Amino acid sequence: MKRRSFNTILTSGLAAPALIGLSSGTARAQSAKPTTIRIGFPGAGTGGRPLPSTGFTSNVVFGGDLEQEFAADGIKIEWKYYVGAGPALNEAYANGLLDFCFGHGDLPLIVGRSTGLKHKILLSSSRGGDVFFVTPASSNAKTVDDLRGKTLSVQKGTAGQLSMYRFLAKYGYKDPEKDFRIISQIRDDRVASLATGDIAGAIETPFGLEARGVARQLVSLYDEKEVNRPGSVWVAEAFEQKHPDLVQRIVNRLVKRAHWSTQDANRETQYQWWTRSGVNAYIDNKQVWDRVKDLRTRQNPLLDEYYLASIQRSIDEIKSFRLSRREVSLEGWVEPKYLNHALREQKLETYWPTQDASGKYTRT
Amino acid sequence: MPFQKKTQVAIAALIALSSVTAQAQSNSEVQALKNTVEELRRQIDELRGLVKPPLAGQDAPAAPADGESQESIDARTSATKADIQGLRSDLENYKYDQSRLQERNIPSVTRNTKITGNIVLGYDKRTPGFQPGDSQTTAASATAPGEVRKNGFRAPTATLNFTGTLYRDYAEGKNLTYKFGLGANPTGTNATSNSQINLTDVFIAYSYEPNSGNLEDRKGVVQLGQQAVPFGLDAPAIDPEVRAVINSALFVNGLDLGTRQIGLVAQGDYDPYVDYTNNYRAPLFGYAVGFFNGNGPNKNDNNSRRDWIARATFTLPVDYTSWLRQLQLGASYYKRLPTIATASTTAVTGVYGQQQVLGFDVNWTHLPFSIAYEWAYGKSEIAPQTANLRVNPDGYKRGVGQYINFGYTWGEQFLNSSKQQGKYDDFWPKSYQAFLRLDTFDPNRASTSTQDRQFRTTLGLNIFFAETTRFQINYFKDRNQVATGVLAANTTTLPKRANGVQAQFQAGF
Repeated sequence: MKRRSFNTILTSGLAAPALIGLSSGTARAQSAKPTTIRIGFPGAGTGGRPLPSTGFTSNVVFGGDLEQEFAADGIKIEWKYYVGAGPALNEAYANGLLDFCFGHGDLPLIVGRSTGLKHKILLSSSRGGDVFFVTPASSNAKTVDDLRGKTLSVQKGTAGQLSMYRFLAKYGYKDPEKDFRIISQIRDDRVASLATGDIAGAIETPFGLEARGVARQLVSLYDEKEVNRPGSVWVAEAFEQKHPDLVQRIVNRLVKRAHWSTQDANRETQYQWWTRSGVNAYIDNKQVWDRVKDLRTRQNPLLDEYYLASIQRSIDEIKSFRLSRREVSLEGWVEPKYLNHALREQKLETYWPTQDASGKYTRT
Repeated sequence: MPFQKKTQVAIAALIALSSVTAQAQSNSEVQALKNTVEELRRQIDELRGLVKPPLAGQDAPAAPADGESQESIDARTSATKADIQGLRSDLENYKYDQSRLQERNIPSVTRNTKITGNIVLGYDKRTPGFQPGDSQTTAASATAPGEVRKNGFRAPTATLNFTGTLYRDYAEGKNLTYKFGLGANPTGTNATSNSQINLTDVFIAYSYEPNSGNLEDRKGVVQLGQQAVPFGLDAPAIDPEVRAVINSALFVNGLDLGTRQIGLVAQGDYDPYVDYTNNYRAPLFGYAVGFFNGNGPNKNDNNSRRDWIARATFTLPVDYTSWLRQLQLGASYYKRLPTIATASTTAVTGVYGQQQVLGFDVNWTHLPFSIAYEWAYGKSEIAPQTANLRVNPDGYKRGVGQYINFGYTWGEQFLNSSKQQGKYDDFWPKSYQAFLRLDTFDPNRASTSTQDRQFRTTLGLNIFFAETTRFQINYFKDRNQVATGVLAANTTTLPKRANGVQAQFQAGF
């Protein structure tokens, strides 16, 4: 074959997929109102069940709030649950498959932002929480110091990685990768490794493991501000620019359900909803959450000083642990106007407690 | 009469008595009686403390408060012993069913094992048709004659694979694993109706680098056994389930790269760049080094020397969101020393001949777009016999080929996040992959063998409608230079021009 004819076909081959791409992009741009709103959760139920597991954002799903909200508009809500947690959710968003995320952990959220994922933080999905550091049941360790130099496990790339680093930093290990051998495992492998004693410790929900005699709690921290970071609800920047009215309606529903979720009368309903995912047993949900006397301290959507300072601390940590090379700024990233409007409209401006940067309550 | 009432009657009687006698008795007696009464009162109080009132909701749940949810009512409603006994019966029944199922209906394996396979069922059409005895028909003879075949259903190809772990290293993931594969194809003869079943991939593999899931760790696996040769992009894709295009690149068969070999291969990577945004991993360098018998699969060795191969790849260390994501450059070198005949046309003992294949490839996959380009050049020593040396006077045959593949993909099936998305039952997102491949091969570049090039253009579509099953349709157009100087007339296997359609289902399980 003559070179020219080969090149001609080559050029037309290059052009064909580009044309297909352009035509489908144009078709998308013409649609003003979405037929579907796609909302992702960084996690799924046991066995990959498409269900969320905790928090007021989960209650929005179980309560069918958004389906009710948009039924009259004919807009379908598509829930997506990513077994691969925060990083998988980032991948889906990078490929244009999501409009909202209902509760992203700090590490994937910030690193995603650093590599150019454009979203707006609308409200906080949770704050506080318990951290259980467990060791194999047969371990002789009595303190974290006894584990120095040994193998710890975490799923790297998820918010759990930063939680582990912060937990170890609390006990004086500022460069944890040097003081410990930290390997990356998914939960199933981690639990198996605890059973065989091939890892010395991990942050893990302990109740089921204790019941099976596999592991024991070495350290338990409750609402420890040094270790915990709030989760975030965000919207795709393009969606927010195109459909601010829809964003406001979703935030309104989230705030309404957050308020409902803080009522003691609704504790039992929530525990039983969260049990459906199979992630935690009912008695474990009850044990963990009955300890929280004021549900407003955890089911708190505010973007207050504490939220902003916490995310900034996470940004600094990610840089210091060399998990991202790029700068991230809160400037222009957090968009509180939808939350403020919802709080005003529902007369909840002073309902939730606020905290200062250090976590001290400034309003209870 | 209840105990409490008896006590109250006794107290009342005592009080009555005390009031009557008080008039007749002295003050001291009155005082004694008062003390007795006080003592009795004290005892009653103690007894009251011991007798607990029934708990609210013990017999029946209390009436719900205004606005109280059913879940809250359930939470303060106690289970009875009968409830628990019923639950236990259910649990025991479940345990019994499970143990019987395990024993009678569930196959078991000694080691952790995964069974996979693939069935290919298709239809094709070509103009001009295939001649009897062509490799695309069945072999014909006088006793079992054939006809020209222009179209027809394709006999099934099936594969069956077993993979699993022989030794699991929980701490570091330096696991020992195995793969055992079988492939069945039609025999190609017209007289019999048999399939040939052959071993395909059969090897054990050891991860000498930690494989614990830490993306920043290097990867390294050594495989011993029968396996594909890691040359370039298209040659290792021997099995139909991993190929986007139904036919291999022309040079893969032309340079004899499309067969498995028996030997040892170590492959891995070095210095991976990790974008934690979405766990994207781009190893800066990748490598593969292998040693083989060189005479193909399912045979004992028949020559004195081992073949060897080396391959290196370089992947750009960029973030997942970069346009240069998954841009990989690769180069391969394959040194082969196969047995060739000597100048004698009757000797059964041959000598080893020198053969080398060089390759270069570029692959860029940034969904929805993908481009793959590959070039390969082979130089093979030939038997120094007169007929051969007439065409290749220096005793070497040189062939060169290249292809470029443009792909456009839409759908979610190629994203890890979508593959692992939580879902009920067997839901799977549909995906589509369109491509255009331009392929050319010159089997002999000698000046005495000009005008022998082959060209193939393939336009195709893959429809992935289930997790492991897809429908493929390819339209191909061939141009073959068949004789010196001019395009020759059609021959049995290599017509001057040909076009056709191939369609097939790839059913994976």
